[in-house]
Amino acid sequence: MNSLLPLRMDFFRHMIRCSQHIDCWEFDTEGNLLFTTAENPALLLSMMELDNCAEELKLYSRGNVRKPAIISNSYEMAWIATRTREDEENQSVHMIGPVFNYTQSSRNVEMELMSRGISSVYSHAFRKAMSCIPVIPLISWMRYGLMLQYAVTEEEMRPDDYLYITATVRTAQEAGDLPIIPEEAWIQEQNTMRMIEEGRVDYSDILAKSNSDADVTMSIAATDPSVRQRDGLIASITLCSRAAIRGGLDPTTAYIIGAQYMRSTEDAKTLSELAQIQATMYDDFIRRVHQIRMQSGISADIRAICNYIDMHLNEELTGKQLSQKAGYAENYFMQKFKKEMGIGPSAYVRQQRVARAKVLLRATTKSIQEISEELGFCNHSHFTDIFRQQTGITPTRYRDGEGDA
Amino acid sequence: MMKLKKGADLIALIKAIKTCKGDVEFIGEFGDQLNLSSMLSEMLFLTLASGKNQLTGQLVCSNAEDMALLSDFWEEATV
Repeated sequence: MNSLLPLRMDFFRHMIRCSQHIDCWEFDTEGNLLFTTAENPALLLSMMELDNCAEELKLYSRGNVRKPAIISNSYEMAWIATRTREDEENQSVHMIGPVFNYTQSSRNVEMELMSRGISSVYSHAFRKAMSCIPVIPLISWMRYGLMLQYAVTEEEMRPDDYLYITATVRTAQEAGDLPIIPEEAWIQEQNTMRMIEEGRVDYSDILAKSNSDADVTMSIAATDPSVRQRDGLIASITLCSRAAIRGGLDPTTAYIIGAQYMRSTEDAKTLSELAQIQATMYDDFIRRVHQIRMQSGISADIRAICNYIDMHLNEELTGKQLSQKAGYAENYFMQKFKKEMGIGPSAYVRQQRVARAKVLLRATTKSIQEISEELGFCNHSHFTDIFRQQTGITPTRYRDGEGDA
Repeated sequence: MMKLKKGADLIALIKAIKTCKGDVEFIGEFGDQLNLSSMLSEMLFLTLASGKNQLTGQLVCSNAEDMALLSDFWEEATV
C-alpha cells in the first residue's frame, strides 16, 4: 500500500483550494462517498444522479481504464475522476468538480430556467446555488485533472489521455431552446479582432489582464467539448483572417494561411492539439500584421514581392525570377530590396520559410521531412541547418517546446 | 400542501422519481410547476430541496400508483 497517498491528497486539496474553489471527493468502488470538501454534498451528489453521471462514475470505478475521465452532463457541468493504482490496498475513486467549462454554460442554465417563468424566490435560490459552481476554462480544467491524476497515481499523463464520458445529448427541442447570451463572447471577440488588426504582439499580456475565459468558441452551442472547440476554432480562423486583412495583410495571403489552419483543425485529434492550433493561429496573424505595420516605409513594389514570396514559399524562388516579377533589372531590384527590407531577397525567403516552418511544427503533426519538402528545401538536413541558423535550435527541439512560442 | 421531510435522501428521491411510470410534477408554494421528468426542473427542485427551508408544495403524479413510491419522502404540511 502506498502510505503517502493520504498525504499527497491532503496536499493536493489544499493546493487546489489556493487557486479555485473546486470540491474534492473520494468514493469507494461501489460509489459510496468516503470523503468530500463540499459544503453541500447532498445537492452536488444528487446533481450527479441526473443524466446518469453517477452511474457512469460507478462503471468507470469498476472498470480497468487507467486514464482519468472527464464526466459531463448535458448542461456542461463537468467532473474529473481518476482511480487509485491497482496495487493500492483500498481501491477508491478520487474526483474533483463540478465546474462549468464555459461562462455561457452556467448562463444558459439560468436563462433557460428564467424563460420558463420561474418565481423570483425560486430563481434567486437557483442562481445562488449555481454561482457556487466555478467556471473554469476547459484547458485549465484538464490541467487540474492531470494534477489530480498525479496526486492519486504518481503518473504523469497528457491532456490527450483523457477519457470522455458525456451525457446523452438533450433533445433537439430542448437544445434549440437554449438562449445564447452573446455579450461576453462579443466583447472578447471584438478585443481579439482589434488586437489582430493592430498587430499587437503584446496580446497575451492584454488577454491575461482581461481575466476572461470567453472566446469565439463561446458562441458555439455544441454539447460535445471537442465539437464545440473544433467548430469554434474554424469560426475563429475565419474571423482572424478577415481582421488581419483589415490590418493590412494581403487578402490572398490571409485566405491561404486561413485554409492551412482549417486543414490542421480538421486533422487535429485531441483538444490539446486544437488549443495549440488556436494559440499559434492568433500569434501568426498578429505577427504578420505587426510586420506589415512595421514595414510602412516599404514601397508597394517590394511589399507586393514580399507577399508573392509568402505565397510561394514552397517553390524555387530566385533573385532573377523575383526581379522579373517586380519589373526591375536584377541588380537594381536586389539593391532596392535590401535597402528597404534590410536583408536580401534570398535571406528574406529563408526567414519566411523558417517562420512558416515554426507554425507547421507546432500546429501540425506533419513530419520534419514533409515540412521540409512543403517549404521547398532541397533536403531534410539543409532545412535543419537553415532552421538552426535562424533560431539556434533544431526543428525537433522547437517542436518539443523549446524556443519562442 | 406537503413538505419534503427534513433530511430526506435526495439521491433516493431522484432514483424513486426515475422509476415512476407517469409524469411527476411538483407545484411549489409560489405556483411554480416543475415537471420532474425535465432535467432542468430536477436541478431546480434539488436546489430547493437541499436549501435551508423545508420545501413546501404539492406533488402531482399522472399515474396514481407512482404516489406510493414517493410518499415516504413527504409529510403533511401543518397550517
